[in-house]
Amino acid sequence: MRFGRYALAAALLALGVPLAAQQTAGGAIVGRVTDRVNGQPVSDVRVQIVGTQRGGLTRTNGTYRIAGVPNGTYTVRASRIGYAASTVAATVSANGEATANFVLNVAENVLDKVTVSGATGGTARAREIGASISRIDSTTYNVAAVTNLSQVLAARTPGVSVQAGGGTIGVANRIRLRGPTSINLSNDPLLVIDGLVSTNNTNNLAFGVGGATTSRLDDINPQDIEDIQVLKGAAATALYGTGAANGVIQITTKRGKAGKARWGVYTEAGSDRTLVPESNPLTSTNYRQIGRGPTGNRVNCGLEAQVLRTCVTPDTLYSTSPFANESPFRVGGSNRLGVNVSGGSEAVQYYLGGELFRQNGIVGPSGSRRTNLRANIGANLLSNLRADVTISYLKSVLNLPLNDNLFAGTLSAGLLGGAFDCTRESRALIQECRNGNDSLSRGYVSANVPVRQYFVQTQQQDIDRLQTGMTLRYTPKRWLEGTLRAGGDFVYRYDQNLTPPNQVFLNAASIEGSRFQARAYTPTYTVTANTKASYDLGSKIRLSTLVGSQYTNEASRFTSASGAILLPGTSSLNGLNARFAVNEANSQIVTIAGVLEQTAAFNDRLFVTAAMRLDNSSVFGADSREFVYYPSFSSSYVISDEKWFPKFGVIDQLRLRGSIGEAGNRPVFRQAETFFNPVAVNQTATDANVAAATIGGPVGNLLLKPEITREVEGGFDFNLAGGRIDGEFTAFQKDTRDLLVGRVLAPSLGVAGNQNVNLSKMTTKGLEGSVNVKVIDMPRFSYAQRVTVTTFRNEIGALGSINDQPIAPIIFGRQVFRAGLPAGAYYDRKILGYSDRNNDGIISRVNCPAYGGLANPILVGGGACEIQLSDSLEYLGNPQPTRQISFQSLFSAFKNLQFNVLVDYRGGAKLYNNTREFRNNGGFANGPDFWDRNAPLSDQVKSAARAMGTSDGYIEDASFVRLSEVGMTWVVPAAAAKILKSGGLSLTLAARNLRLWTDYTGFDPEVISNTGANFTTTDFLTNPPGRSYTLRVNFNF
Amino acid sequence: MTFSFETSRRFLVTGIVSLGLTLTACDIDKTLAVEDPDVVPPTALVDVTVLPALRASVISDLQVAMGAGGESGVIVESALLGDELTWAETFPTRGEMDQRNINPINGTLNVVYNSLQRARATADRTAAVYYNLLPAAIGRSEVQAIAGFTYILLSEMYCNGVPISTFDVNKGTFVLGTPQTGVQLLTTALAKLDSARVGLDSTLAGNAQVVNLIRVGRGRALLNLNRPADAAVAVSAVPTSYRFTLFHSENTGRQNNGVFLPTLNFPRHSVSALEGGNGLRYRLDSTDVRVYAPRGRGLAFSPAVGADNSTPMFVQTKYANRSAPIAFADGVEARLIEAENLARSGGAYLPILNALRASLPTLIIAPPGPATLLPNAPAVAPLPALVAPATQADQISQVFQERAYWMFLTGHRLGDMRRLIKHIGRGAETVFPTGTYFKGGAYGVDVNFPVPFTETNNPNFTQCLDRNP
Repeated sequence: MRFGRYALAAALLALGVPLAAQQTAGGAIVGRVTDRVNGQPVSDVRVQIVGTQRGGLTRTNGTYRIAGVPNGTYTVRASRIGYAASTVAATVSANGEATANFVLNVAENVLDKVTVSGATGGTARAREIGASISRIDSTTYNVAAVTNLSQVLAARTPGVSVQAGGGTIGVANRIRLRGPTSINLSNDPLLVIDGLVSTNNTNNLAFGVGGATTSRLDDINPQDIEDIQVLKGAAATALYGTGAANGVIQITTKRGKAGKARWGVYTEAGSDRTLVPESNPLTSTNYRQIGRGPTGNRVNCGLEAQVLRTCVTPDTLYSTSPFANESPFRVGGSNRLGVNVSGGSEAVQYYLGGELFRQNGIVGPSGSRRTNLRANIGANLLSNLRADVTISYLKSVLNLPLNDNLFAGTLSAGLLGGAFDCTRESRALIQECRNGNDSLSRGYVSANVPVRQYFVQTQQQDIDRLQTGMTLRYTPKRWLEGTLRAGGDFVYRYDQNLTPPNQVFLNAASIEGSRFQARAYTPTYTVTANTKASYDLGSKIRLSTLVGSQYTNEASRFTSASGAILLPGTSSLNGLNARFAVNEANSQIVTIAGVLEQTAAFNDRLFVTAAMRLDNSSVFGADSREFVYYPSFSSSYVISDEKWFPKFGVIDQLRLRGSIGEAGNRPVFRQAETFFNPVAVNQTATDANVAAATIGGPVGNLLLKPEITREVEGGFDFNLAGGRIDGEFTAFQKDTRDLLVGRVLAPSLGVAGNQNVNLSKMTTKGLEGSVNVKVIDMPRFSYAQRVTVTTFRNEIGALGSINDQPIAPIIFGRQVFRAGLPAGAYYDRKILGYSDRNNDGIISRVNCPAYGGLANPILVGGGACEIQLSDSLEYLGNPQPTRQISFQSLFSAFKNLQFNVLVDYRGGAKLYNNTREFRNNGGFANGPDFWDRNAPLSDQVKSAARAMGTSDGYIEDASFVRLSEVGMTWVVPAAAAKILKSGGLSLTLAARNLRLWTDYTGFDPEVISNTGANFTTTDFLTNPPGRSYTLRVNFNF
Repeated sequence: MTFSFETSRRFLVTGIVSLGLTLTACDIDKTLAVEDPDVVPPTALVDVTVLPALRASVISDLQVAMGAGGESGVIVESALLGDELTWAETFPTRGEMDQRNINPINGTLNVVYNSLQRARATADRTAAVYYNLLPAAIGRSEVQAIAGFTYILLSEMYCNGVPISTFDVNKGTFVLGTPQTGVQLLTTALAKLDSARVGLDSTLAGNAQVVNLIRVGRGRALLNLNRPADAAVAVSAVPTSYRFTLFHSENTGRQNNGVFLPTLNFPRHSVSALEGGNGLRYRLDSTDVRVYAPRGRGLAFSPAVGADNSTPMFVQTKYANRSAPIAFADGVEARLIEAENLARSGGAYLPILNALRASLPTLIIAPPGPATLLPNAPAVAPLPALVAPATQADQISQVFQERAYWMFLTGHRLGDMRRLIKHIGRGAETVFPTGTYFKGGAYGVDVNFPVPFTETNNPNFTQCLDRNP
């Protein structure tokens, strides 16, 4: 122990902590905390000497003891979620004990909730922080209803947007805090777990499965979470520096509490069903109209062909629904078994948890197996030294199906298939069933065999993830505290896919068989050291100063190997015979930082904080590699604590707050450099390859620096009617400058595509708030309602210019980055109008003139044009939901029945229904808009306008209302639970995605087929979220 | 216990000083320096020892531009716009090409243009490095000749108005060019080919490969400049057996034959026959091994219909696998240039054509394949002699057909179709596919590719100067 003390002292000295004389043994503060209503002891209350980090948690009997307290008079505060914080004065005499008992009032007093800063490790009450920090604690969501962190975050907190990647297990979701911040760089928030920067990559799969990617965010087990703090923008995240402009999701995992060991065991069983309809006429039925041409020949008879008279006599409108013919879906299911134990002594506390989770997806090859282990141990090594160690391990095996933009995908195979239910019997009747590949396909794209052939292909991702860290808090003086935090997040990823030979008959390569595997190791190290001094300036002013530094090192080591022509019976690279390929990719980003923060508290009601962070990073351009400064300033004023404040008999608390801060978004690895890629070249007939170096891309920029976001926010928190109503409201504006733009270089330069330049500006402003109302609060029945509202407006201010030459709008697909429009706005020619001028019951492009400088290839002339398009590309809508409202209802009855309901509304977004467009366009069309003259003209025009080059008709309103969660928990009466020797037993039944109301014509307006992309937002043959039911049993003893 | 402001101030000063020391005591540059072993910095490519690798990069970028690795290259996309291939899949960007109605924002158009400009820039840049380090090396002449070819290809593929810009990889500076007409591009090509020839001893056997490449390049450029007689002279010394080959490989995806991939590996493009009324017969000439393209047999290796599940799939057999080589320039082309000159000047062109046909077994780059498609394939044997048609116009057509068949799917046909219009005087609607498009609508009017929209990032460029042939 002595060695440890000296070693620690040496370490802190090296990090700038002025080492004071060691504290001699002092007195102690002891006491007990009870509930004012029932007089019962309250456990897990954080009792702390105000102005210091010294303190602890109460035991199960409500008692606590803070040892090693020097002589003096102290203010001691007790705080716990669900109770109003309380303070008591205590005077400690020489080696004596002072008693400070607390009687807590139950209150949802948002201002006394305690937060822990991931940047500095310090704790603070909400009232002390000028920026809005939303909090989700584990008691506010039904753990049975959520399977991953994204579901926990969705619709519970204002300012947080979660767009679903689809209904496939393990698929990443797109998470944005207060809308986008960057055009080119990641918009994913920074993830900090127990103070350590953690891998949060949403584009995490070495091979393609059609569009879906996986996310490391969802590695976090919701069962381990104590609470989540969402810092939504730079006003709150300045101390996190470069990488925090998109906000920070800060997770604190469960901790041990002094007292007897408390065991918890839980188990779950669930089912999951697809919501893809088997035979919806619009979305899942394939069509083809057959007829006779001018010479009587059998021809395809699309609507346009009928107008052009290349089909003279429409004959039969064939249709079939492949999913009804042969469903690729199944009922998915899940099982979960977890156990945890927590307890400890005053010296050592522990939390140990473990969980097994199995899930089978709704499509054959999809499934997930996860094992989570966690140990969080805290120890008071000395009276003024505390160590907390956290270690967690995840073993995950995820099997993904092919989907989205792949012929072999589940939806694609059916929705892009033919209109003929080709079976051995129908071949005699339908000519097209005797033509080539469609002979036995039953409406699927596949050749002669059922769609399930694709399921023998495996796409698997294995994750071994170890997160470990240690925090040392050293308090050599009552007014001085040092924190040293170090740890790592080590992700070992193994991606593999296999196409066994002679089993998949999609094309030549699939028959040959192939094997691919990639291994990636991504360690992230964080070391943070801070010292904080607090001191009084007179009796009413308390000042605190924090000085710190941080070092992060994020690396990635990736290798892959693949080949083709696989020996039957093998599933290894060893069995390959051709097209061997290897790849290696390494990256490393090092960031160093310094932090300085000064806070002042006036009468414990007015708080002012000024801070500065300095960052430098290896990814800054070599010519701009200097420290970047991120200043911040915030103020919080609990105005209702002023004696003069009129409360009108209803206002309990009112706080005004404001904050301004800057944070950064760094360039990605190698973005500043121009480089050449090594490639192999064959120069002889004998296949003798030589090495070559071709220029890689994008072109480097030695002046590259981080994007800077400055955010200003202001708002208020309130608590009314004796705690029955509380809420918050915030208005914010964030302005990002030096946005990296992939300046598209003229291809005539002969280089790869673009060059990233710090050029552009973007602004996002919005309003957000939440209100919690205890509508009914009776002993045997209660009803509480929470409403959260978010609305924001995003706009690119300017793309910038180079040498007075404005950067041209950056168009990608049907979206654009253009000044004056939201980032990634939908942008295409608009359908201005249409009418059936010739009364033939068909809307077609025939006879329409040239538009927008493009010729209409089928202009016949002589008739009236039936479709009017705008000449130029126009703004068609925002790809991001700009309005979100969620309603969380909580009912309880008879003290042992609880019901929760979550309803989620999102509006303001459009979604490119590329599934429907693809099924109604060009040579592949099999949808009713293209073939069926009974389709409404409003549908026909979508297909016809697409043939003229615009997707306007298929960029649809994606507003929706969803009954997202419904849960019911029965807490078994204590007497009954005792029979089972349980201290608590409950049963929960939860359901997700029970009902959807929307005008969107695809399967689900929330899906996006490629969540790894920053802005590309499209529904392209994407599997929609299913409907799930879960039954859970919690058993505590 | 009380605390003085002085104590706090001391702490603060100590803390700030300590922080400062922490951040400055270590060498920040050293701390932030990270290794990047996967790529090559430009500074590593200025030594004479890396010239072979730079030369290889010129070959590699040229292979990609013509069609390798991906599925979009000069050969396949020009075959779609021309009359060699038909769109049998679903990607609308390639459908626009087949239908002769290409939008400048077409993504595939962008890919091919980028690749070709990149091949040009790599060749130009490498030639400059050779000039600085080893000007007398044969490699200098070879890469400069390839640079010349890239200018020819730009003129054959695109409208008038292709800019040529330069990028200094070491300084990171750009010089953006102004739109060039096809004639200007060809003039530049000739200049580069002439420079490539400077200092090259044509009597040395080791130089013959490059010397003949320059000769064929000059012939092709001169033909495009409507100087057939000069072109014939330029290629007269090229042996018929000469061939400059793009060697492909299964070794890496980038090296895969880019014509094989979208025709045999995946049924995207079917071989045409009389496309749009004006196209050549191609697959219908089932006894001609040069263009033999049988119907897929209903197996996954040779599906009977294309990826759109409806268009009949006729499969090219010239490139049977991923490593199939492509003739970039050869003696056959030299002879065909001579034959064209004779046909256009009323000379005896037919003996040249028939001599080539008689030598077919030794002149085709490889026998057709794969074997699964060949049950009814014609033998690799001399082709019967042709008979000259009565009129000169038909004789010229005969030469152009022989060019199309000998150089089937090598990236020559689109340029020839444009020459038929602008040099031979044929109407565009008698050369290119016209009328009703088989998947709906009608053929457009494009006879070349527009410069992609992305080139508007060059302030000197607005759009094609014209879309003339």
